[in-house]
Amino acid sequence: MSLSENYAFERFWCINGEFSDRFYTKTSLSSQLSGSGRAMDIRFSPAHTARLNQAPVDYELCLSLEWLCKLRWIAGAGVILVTWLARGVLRLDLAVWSLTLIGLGILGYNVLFLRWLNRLTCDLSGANVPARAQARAHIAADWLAITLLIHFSGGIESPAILYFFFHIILATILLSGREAYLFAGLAIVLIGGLAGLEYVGWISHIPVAGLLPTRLYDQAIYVGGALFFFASAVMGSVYLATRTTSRLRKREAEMLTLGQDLQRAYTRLHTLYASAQAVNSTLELQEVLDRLTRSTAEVMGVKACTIRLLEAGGQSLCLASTYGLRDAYFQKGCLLVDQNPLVREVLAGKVVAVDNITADTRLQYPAAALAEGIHAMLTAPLIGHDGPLGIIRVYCGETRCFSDDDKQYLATVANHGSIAIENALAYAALRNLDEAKRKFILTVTHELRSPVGVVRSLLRTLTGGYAGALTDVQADMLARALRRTDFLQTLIDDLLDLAAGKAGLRMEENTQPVKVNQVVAQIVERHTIPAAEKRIALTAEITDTPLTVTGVAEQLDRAFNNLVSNAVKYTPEGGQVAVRLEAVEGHAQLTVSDTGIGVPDEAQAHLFEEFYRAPNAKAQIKEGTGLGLVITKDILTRYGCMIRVKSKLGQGATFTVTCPLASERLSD
Amino acid sequence: MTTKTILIVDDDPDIVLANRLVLESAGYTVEEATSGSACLAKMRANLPDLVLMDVMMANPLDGYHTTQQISDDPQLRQVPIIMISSITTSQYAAAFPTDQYLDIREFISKPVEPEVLLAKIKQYL
Repeated sequence: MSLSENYAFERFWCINGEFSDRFYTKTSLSSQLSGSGRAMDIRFSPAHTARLNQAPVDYELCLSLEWLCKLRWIAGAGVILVTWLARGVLRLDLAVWSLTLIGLGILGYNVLFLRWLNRLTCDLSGANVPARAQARAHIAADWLAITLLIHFSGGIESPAILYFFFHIILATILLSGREAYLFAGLAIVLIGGLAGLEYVGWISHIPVAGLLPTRLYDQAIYVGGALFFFASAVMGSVYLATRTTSRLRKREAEMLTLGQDLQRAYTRLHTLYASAQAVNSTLELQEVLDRLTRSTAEVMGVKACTIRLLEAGGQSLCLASTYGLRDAYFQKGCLLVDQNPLVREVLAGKVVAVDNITADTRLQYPAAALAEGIHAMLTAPLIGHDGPLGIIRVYCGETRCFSDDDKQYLATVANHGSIAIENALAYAALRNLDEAKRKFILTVTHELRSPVGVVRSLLRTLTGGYAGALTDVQADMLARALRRTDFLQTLIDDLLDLAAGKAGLRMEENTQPVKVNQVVAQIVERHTIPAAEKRIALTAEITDTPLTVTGVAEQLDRAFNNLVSNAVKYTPEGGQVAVRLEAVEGHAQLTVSDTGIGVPDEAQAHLFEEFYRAPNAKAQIKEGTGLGLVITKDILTRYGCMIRVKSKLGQGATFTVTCPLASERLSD
Repeated sequence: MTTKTILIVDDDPDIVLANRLVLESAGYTVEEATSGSACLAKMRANLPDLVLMDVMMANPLDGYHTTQQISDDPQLRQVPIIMISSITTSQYAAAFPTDQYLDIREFISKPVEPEVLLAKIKQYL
C-alpha cells in the first residue's frame, strides 16, 4: 500500500494515530458490511495516486537530471567537435586546447554526476531534497563551463554566449521561480564580470582570430550594449518561462487538490453507503442501533460511539447502544436534558464538538469521561419526523480531533440513522399492536365464550325438560333463545379459531399423519341426519386406499366439515350432496359437490374473505358468521393444501381440496 | 338398585345447577364441589361412583392438579373421571396422567349437550 492512500484517509478523517491502522479499519469494515466481499474497491491505482499525491515538481526534477546528463554528452562532445572543425575547416585561430579541455571537463564532470545520480532513486515519496541539491550542482557546473567556454571563445564577442539561454530555460523548468531569477542574475554577473574584467584588462582577452573583422571587447558602447541586451534577454526569458511554468504548476496543484477532494468525496459516499446498507438491513431496533454505533466508530476511526434515546417524556437521554466503551462508563446513568446545556444545544438541531473535555463546562459527567480516556467528543442530533429522537456521539482519546468533515459526516450519519431508527420503532410498534390485537381477540373471545356456554347449558336444561315440563309458548320462546345462543356460540368459536390461527398459535401443535378417510367418513356420518331431515341425498365415495395427510385431525375435520355442512345448508330440499375422497397424483383429493344455490360469479373472488357472505346465501339463511370458509382455507393453507371452487348461480357448487400425501413419513 | 352418586366439580354454580338438574332427572344422586380441594375432601368422605371434573378451575387446585392428586391416592383413583374442558380439542389429553390407575374416561368439551352427557355417563356406570 502506498502512503498516498493513507494520506487521503488521514486528510479526510482528521484522526490521530497511524495511517495504516485507519486504512485497514476502513477496508475491513467495507468488506464486513458488504458481506459477500463485493465491497467497492476504494483504492486507486498506484500510478493514479502517485500523480495525485506526489510533489510533482520534485519528482519531475529528479527524472530530468538523467535527461540532462544525456544532453551533456552531446554538449561536451559538441564543444570539442565544433572547436576542431572551426580550426580545421574554417581555419579559425582559437584556443583549441583550452576549449578541448573544457569539452573534456564537461564530459568528465558528467561522469561524476551520473555516478551521483545512480545513488539517487526517484521514488514517489514526496520531497526529493537530494535531487534538488544535485540539480543546483549540475546547473552551477554547467554555468561555470559555459562561462569558461565563452571566455576562451572571445568573451563578449563569443557567439557561444547564446548557449546561455539553454541553461536559463533549463533552470526555469527545473527550479523554482526565485531560484531561476537568482541563476539568471548569476549569469548576468558572470558574463558582465567576464566582459568587464577583459575590458579593463585584468584578465586577458582570448580572441577567435578570423571570426570578427574588428575588436569589440574593448569598445565600451559595444560591451555595454551587448551586456544590456544579454541581461534584458535573460531576464525576459526567465520572466516568460517562469510565468508559463508557474501557471502549469498551479494548474497541476489544482488538479492534485481536485483529485484529493474527489477521493475524499468518494470515500465518504462509499462509507455512508456501506453504513446505510448495514443499518437498513434490519428492522430490529437494537440491531439498528448497534450497527449504527459500530459502523460509525469504525469508519470515523474514533475510540467509541454511543446512541442515547429520549425517554421519560423527553426529559432524559438514556443509553441505547454503545461501541468501544467500558461497562463502567455507561453505568453513570441517563443524561438529564434539564441539567445539560450541551444536550439541549444538540437536541435543538446542532452538531456540537467538545474539543477539550476539561475546558468545557457544558458536560454533566466530565470526570467519568476523563477516567475513560475521553478527551474530545462530537455529538449530533437524531431527529425524526415528530421531533428529536436522541443523540449520537463519538468519542476521541485526544483533544481537538474533529474536523469540519467529521462534523458533516456525523450529521449525515445521524440523518440516515434517524430514518432507520424511526423505521425500527414503527416496526416494533406495529408488531406490538398486532400482538395486542391478538391478545385482545383471544381474551374477549374466551370471556364471551364461557358465559355464552353457561347460558346455553342452562337453556338446554330447560328445553330438554330436565327442570320440569314447559308450556308450548315457553318451549317456543326458549327454543328461539337457544337458536340465537347457538349462533353466538358459533360466531365466538369461529373468531377464536381465526384469532388463534392468524397468530400462528396452532403452529406449535404437533402435527401428525392423519388418515383422512376416517375423518371424511365421520363428517359424512355427522351430516346424515340433517341431510335426511331435508330429504337431501348425501352420497359418499371414499377410497379404500388409506390416504394420510400431515396435520391435526381435529383441524382437518373442522376444515372439511365446513364444506359438507355448507353443502347441506345451502342445498334446497330434495337436492343432492356428493362427497368424494380419492388419490390424485400423489395428493388426497376431496370433492364436495351439491345441487344448491351456487355461488354467483362476482362473489367467488370474495368467498374466502372474513365476514363475507354471498348475497344469495344471506337471503337463504339469515344467520351465518361469514367465517367458515376463511377458517377452512386458513387451516388448509397451513397443511399445504389447496382449495378451489367451481360454481354457477343456481346450479350448485363444487369445492375441491387437494392435500399432499404424507405416505413417505408413514412408511418410516 | 341403589342410585349412583356423581360428584360434579366445577367452580361455576350455574354449570353445577344445569348439570345437577340433568343428572337428577336421570335418577342419579348428585354431590357438588366448587374446588379441587373440596372435591378431594368429598371423595374421601364419601366415595362417588363417577366424577365430572371441570379442567379450568380457579387456583389453588385446578382440574389437572386435582386429577393428579386423585391418581396418587389408591382409594380415590378407582373412580372414573369425565373431564369437561372449555377447550374444543382434546389437546390437553396428553398432559393428563392417564396411566392404568387414573381413570380419565372421557374428555367432553363445553358446552355439554345434556343427551351427550347422560350417554357418556351411562357408558361408565
